[in-house]
Amino acid sequence: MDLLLQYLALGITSVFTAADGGLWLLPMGMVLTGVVIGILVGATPGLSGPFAMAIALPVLVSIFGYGNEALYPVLGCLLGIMKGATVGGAVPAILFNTPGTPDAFLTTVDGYPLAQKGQGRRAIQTAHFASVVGDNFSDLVLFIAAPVLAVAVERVLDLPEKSALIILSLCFMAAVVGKAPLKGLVGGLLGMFVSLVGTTMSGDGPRMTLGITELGGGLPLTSCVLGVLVLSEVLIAVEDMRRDRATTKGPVSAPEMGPPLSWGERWRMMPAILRGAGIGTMIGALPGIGTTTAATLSHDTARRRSKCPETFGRGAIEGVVATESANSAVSGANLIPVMSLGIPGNFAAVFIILAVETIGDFAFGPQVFRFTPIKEIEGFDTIMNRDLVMAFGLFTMMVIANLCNWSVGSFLMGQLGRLIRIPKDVMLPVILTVSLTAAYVQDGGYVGLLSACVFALIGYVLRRLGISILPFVIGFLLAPALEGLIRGSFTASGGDPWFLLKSPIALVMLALSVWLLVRMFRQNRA
Amino acid sequence: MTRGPVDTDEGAPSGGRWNLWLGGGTLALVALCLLVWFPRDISSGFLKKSLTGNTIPGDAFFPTLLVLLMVPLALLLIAGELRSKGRKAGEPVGRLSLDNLLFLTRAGLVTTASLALMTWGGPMVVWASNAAGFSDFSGYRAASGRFPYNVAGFFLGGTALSASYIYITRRSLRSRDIVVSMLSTAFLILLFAGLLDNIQLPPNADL
Repeated sequence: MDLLLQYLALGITSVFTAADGGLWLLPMGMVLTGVVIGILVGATPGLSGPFAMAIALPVLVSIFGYGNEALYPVLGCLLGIMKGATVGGAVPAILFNTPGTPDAFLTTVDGYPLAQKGQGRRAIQTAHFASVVGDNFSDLVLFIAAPVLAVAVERVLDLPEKSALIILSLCFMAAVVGKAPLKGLVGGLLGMFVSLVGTTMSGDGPRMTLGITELGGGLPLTSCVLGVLVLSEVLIAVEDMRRDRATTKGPVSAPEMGPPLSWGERWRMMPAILRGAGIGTMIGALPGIGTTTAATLSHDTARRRSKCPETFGRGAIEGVVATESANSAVSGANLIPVMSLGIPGNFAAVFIILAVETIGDFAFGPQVFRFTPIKEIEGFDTIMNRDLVMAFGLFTMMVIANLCNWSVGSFLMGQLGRLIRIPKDVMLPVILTVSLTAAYVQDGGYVGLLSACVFALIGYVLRRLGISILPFVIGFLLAPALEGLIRGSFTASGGDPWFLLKSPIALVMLALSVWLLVRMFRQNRA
Repeated sequence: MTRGPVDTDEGAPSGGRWNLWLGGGTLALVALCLLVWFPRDISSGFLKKSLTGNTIPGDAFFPTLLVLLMVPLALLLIAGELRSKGRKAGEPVGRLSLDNLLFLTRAGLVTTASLALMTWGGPMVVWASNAAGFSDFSGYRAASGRFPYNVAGFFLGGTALSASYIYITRRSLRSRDIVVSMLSTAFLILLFAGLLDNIQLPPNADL
């Protein structure tokens, strides 16, 4: 317990202490900046948290560099954007029936009718309160579950089991994301496959470069993810708007806002908020299952437990509570597999992992939560697990982000209605230029820019064919780790071709993967 | 304003020949990798002997496992589609239409032209400046460290890129759209070239 408290104290102080020992407020400032950007982005239809994180990452790396000291400011800003966006998305959903982010889709069901009844302010304040409490709840679960899970994984799982766990995660993700799981899994394998271009694990020179010397250093990670996630989305949106000739002007005026939410009402909402947060946390802890599932399940549960279920969909404040508490609780819980296993479960987590892989020498995974005894060796240094200090530092920044969401978010939420007026048909082309510039700047030239363009094309084709992008991106990111684990398992087994099937735990995980595959096929035939 | 919320994760229509194309394409990729690409482009093979004589994986080990895993998935995709016997019961799949390809061609042309302007805009400005007698640079490289020559190409190309995509999106271009494109590109110049050190805007990192 003492050791835990020592690491906790070191983690908290590391956020506020510069390398020279002086007071350091930069990480806190970046968290605040991130929350404000996140709320603004969330309230702008057509943008989302991951979208903003994708563009922000190269810019932040350009500003703060690649050293260890850049980790806190960069991750602080990204965490702030992630958390702020979950709050901001509710505003246009409630006032204009247009979700600011896909997360807020179900908030329109009860939020918009409430606004039409002249209770817009009450609905927005409810959404903010439920969202922030839900987010805080899932963060608390993250702080406890991630170390516990990591310690368990580190004690029980060896190389073959860890390999099997990644395979199972990818199969699970493909099964639950999108409506074409078989193709999702093919996409995941394809993502792994392309990430191998230009790499080598045996020191025999870069592989699969097709003779293009510029690919000898491997594909630029950030540019590729920027292309497949952001640029492909922009291309799809531009084409759809061109085809539909959609008018993207916002409404002339917001509806009557009505009275505010009282503290008594907030207190009475708490059981419903905690129920929604519990559902969101459970769903969010599983990789790949998104906010929409959590919000749908929570809304449905609230409706079934309500004394007046007929009011749901016609402006029930309990409906807003259920959806917002659940979808916000997903964001914290999604970091449980990230921090404990190094496996991202959603797009926001992808950018947190990408930042960590780009900057410094910190890496997520079970090794982070090793409670190495802290020993000071005179005249040398202090021996400790610095990754664990960093992890507690990240938890501290999440708490700061939550405090910003409570305070700044509460103020901003009431002012955001006008953001819906930003025309999407002008905003998206500008985002395209910003993204291509960021790809060039981050990855040092036309290789980054062209990689982004090629991956935008891949993302466009996958999206148009109804194949989920998430398994592709996760596969792309996890391939180096999986290859290292599989090669290590094979070598440790002495070249045994059944190296993955020797361990009962790995066998069970692989059997589960096969079961998921069979289930996908049956679903395909149903 | 939309009357109903828009589902951003709307599913693709169910079934279709595209499942067959995708399954067949995956099998063709696997064959290409195993028979042509890997043997020619991966030097260390599937397995190799270490210095101590142990068998260890070569660089082709993991890619081969990956593409082999694609085979049953592709076969399941094809089998699922063939068993549905045209009842649209296969896995949901979208489609790439001729319109999509036309759009991609248009987007590709616009992007290429804008990037070309970004690359050659700077040298053109230097040439024009030399021709008008405002400067006497030996070439763009000599001027690429000096404002405004170092950002002229990016400004022209970035503005063209944003404005062209706005035109593609709304099928018209207003003067205020061009102003927004210019201002947003100028903001990027201010951010990357003005406020940050050691950052090269296109095309300066490739000189």
